[in-house]
Order: sequence, then C-alpha cells, then structure tokens
Amino acid sequence: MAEQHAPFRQFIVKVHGRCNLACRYCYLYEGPDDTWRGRPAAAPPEVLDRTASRIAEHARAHGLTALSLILHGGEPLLAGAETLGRFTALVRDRAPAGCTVRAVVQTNATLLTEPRLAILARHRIGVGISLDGGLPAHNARRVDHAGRPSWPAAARGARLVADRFPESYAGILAVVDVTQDPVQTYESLLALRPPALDLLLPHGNWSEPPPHWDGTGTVYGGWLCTVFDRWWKAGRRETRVRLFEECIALLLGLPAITEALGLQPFDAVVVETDGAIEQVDSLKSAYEGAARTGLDVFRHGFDEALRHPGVRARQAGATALAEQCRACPLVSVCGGGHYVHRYRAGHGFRNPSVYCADLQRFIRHVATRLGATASATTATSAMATAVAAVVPSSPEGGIP
Amino acid sequence: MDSSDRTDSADGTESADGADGADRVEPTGDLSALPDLTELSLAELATVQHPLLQEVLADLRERARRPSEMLWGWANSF
Ligand code: SF4
Repeated sequence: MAEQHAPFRQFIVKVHGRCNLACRYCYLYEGPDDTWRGRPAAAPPEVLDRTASRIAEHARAHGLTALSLILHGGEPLLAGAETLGRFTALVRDRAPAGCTVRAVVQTNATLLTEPRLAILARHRIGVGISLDGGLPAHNARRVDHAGRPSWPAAARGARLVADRFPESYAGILAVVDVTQDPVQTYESLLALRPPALDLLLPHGNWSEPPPHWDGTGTVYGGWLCTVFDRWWKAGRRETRVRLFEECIALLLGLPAITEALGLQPFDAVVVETDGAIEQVDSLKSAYEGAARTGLDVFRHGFDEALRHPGVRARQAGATALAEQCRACPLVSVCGGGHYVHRYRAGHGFRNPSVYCADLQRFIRHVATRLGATASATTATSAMATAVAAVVPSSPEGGIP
Repeated sequence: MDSSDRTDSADGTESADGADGADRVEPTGDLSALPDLTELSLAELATVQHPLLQEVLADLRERARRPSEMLWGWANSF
C-alpha cells in the first residue's frame, strides 16, 4: 500500500543558533541535548540560499498554496534584521506562483528596535514574542548570560511592536508558570496588547516530570481552567488564545492547528544553522539527539525527511498513540497531548502525555463551558440534554 | 536520565528495558465520555449569545473555507 505523507508546510529555519538570553528552563540550551555546540552560530549565506531552494522545491512538488516560514533560533535577531529580510525575500522569490509565504520571526523581544522592526515590516515578517507574563516576576527565569533580568528590554520591545508596528505583531507565547497567579499572568500579558496568545505547558515527560507537577490534573489543568474562565467570561475576545480556540474547534469536530492537542498530522520541519534537517527541536527536551534525521539541505530534499520514521510517527494520527490513548474517550480532542510530553525513558513516545490528567481536566472544563453556553440559547438542542447527563458541573461552578 | 535509558527508537516504538519494561502508564482521572458537541453545526451556533464565541466561530468558518491555508501549528512560534 502506498504510504501517504502530508507535506511539510511549516519550515522552521534556525537563522541563528545562539541566544543572548539563558532562560533557566530552556530545552535547547539547558536540556539534555547539546548538539547546538557543534554548529555554526549564524546560518551561513549558502545554507540560507540552499534552504530557500529546498523549500521552493517542496512547495512546487506538493502544490502548496501556502506555507509558513518561521525564523527561529536561538535568538533569530542576532542574525540581523536585514539577513532575515533577504532570506524571506529569497523564499518568496523562489516559491511557486500562487503559494503564499507567511513569514514570522519568533524573538525574545530584547533586540527589537524601531529600525529593525521597520525592516521586518518592509519584508512582511510578523513578530512573535516569547515571554512568560507581563510583569517582572513572571520573567524572573528569563535572564541573560550574566543572570540579569531580560524583562526591561523585552517589555520595551513588546511595547514598541504594539505601539508602532501593530500590523507586524503576531502574538505572545508564554510558558505556564504555575507558581504565578493565572489571572494576573493573563491580564499582564493582555496589557501588552498581543493579537494572539498561546500558553505552553513546560517541557517535561514521565522520566523528567514538569516542575510542580503532581499527576492529579490540579496544578496545570486547574491553572489553565482559571485562565480559560477569565478569557471566556470577558464579554468579548480580548485576544485570541490558541490553546483555547483550538480546543473549541476540536470539541466541535473541526480540524485544529496546534501541536498541543488533536490528531492532525504534524507538518513542521527544522533546518539547523549548518543545513541539517531535523525534526522539531522540542524533541530535544526528551533525550540527546532525539531530533536528528541524518539529512541536510545540501544533499537531501524535504521529501526524504517525510520518509524518516520519526516524522512518519508524528503523521500517523491515532495509530501512533499509546493503546491507553487510543481507548480514551477524549482522544479526538486531546490527541495524546504534545508529542514530547509522552516520552518515557526506555519506553519511547508511545505513552499518554505526562499532562494526561491536566488535559482531561482542561478539555472537560472547556466542553462544559461550551456546552452550557450553547444549550442556554439553543434550548431545543438534544445536545443540551447530553451535556447535562455526561458532564458533572465544573468544580469552579458558575457557568455563564 | 542516564544514557543507558536511551533505547528509544525515533518512531516512538517501545524497546525492551529490563526490569520496568512491562510497566505502562495508566491514565488516571475522569475518563468518562465527553458530550458530543460535534452535533452542533456552525450555523446552529450562530444564534448563541456569546460575543467571544461568535468571534472564534467566525475564524473557524473562515478557516473551513480555506483549509489549505491553515498554518498555525508549531507550538514554539506564532
Ligand atoms: S493523554 Fe490522557 S487524556 Fe489524552 S488521549 Fe491519552 S489517555 Fe486520553
């Protein structure tokens, strides 16, 4: 039987492999994998040139009408805004007619200045910012190499994008810190006026559990439910929250576009600064070399990466899941959670997520809210009866 | 984690691991069925009085019209 591979549509290019910060939890530099040490700091021009051609080749071969170019690092702005602009222009030039290239740089915001933002805007490169909250205390773990807080520079950068380049502002990614108040974290991020937000569960797995995790679903699941309620009850959409909106999509049986939930085939690939083609590097939080494919843009096209067993496993949907997940009634929404959270030393990735109980609690909570809201205005819906019968009232109570 | 644990193959299949090889992680928590909200059509939901939900649904409708342009996936970027 011919195997079906979804083509890659998200190309994560490590334009610079080093970072001007040394966040205490960083999976790249503080985790078990130190492959970054052997690579060039900045991607040389020939790597970027070859990468642009390979992306175009893949887009043409698969008739892509849109693709996502993610300029990443390390800290990608260390490569220089002009380099990012030139590379993006190269990808757009070589991409086939009719293929939209959506470009975004994911930055810690400390190096954002008006001239750099002007260059990014000219090249239609969106700016995604990584922060852990909108207050100094939330970002205490985001420090530079000398241990100094990054927050003053990051806050300045984020405000500059919001004030002067709102059309470039893609959003903020924040790693959940359960020691911080969930509503205060959300509201402080909101004050930075991001058009979108995502809340990432910290990397961790069954062998290296996440910080403060207790397996009951209370710590992380409860934290997310609290933020969800603050967002849901605001009376308007103050910002998009990717995790929440994708959970709603999945509950409604619609396709989702997040790595954190659902069973959709994963379609991202990484090019390192030396041209190595790798799987997404959050895998590096599991064990050393976990993301390696042995391929590179000089000798291989992305189609060869599609045939790599690790990539195939992430495109296999439910069949790649642990038996426990396949039998789980939440699987169509949860999808076993983020792939790297399933890892267990000696047992690979075929396990439920280490956040299993947290995901259950969160998904059930969103289902309760959504079902109650829908049933409140669609009184005749048979679904209302189903919700009442199946979902116990939320522990927090107070359905809107 | 020590290096002797790193016997996992890249495709996520399990490998024998001596003493705890038979163990598996069992999900705990409330594993009863979810309500089937997939019965709700987007058209039906259009009558729901919830401005935030309406904005989310507008995006989902737009996405449904252009599925090949859904490009918002990788967790570590926007
Ligand atoms: S991780 Fe847990 S909640 Fe998610 S599908 Fe697997 S068993 Fe179900």
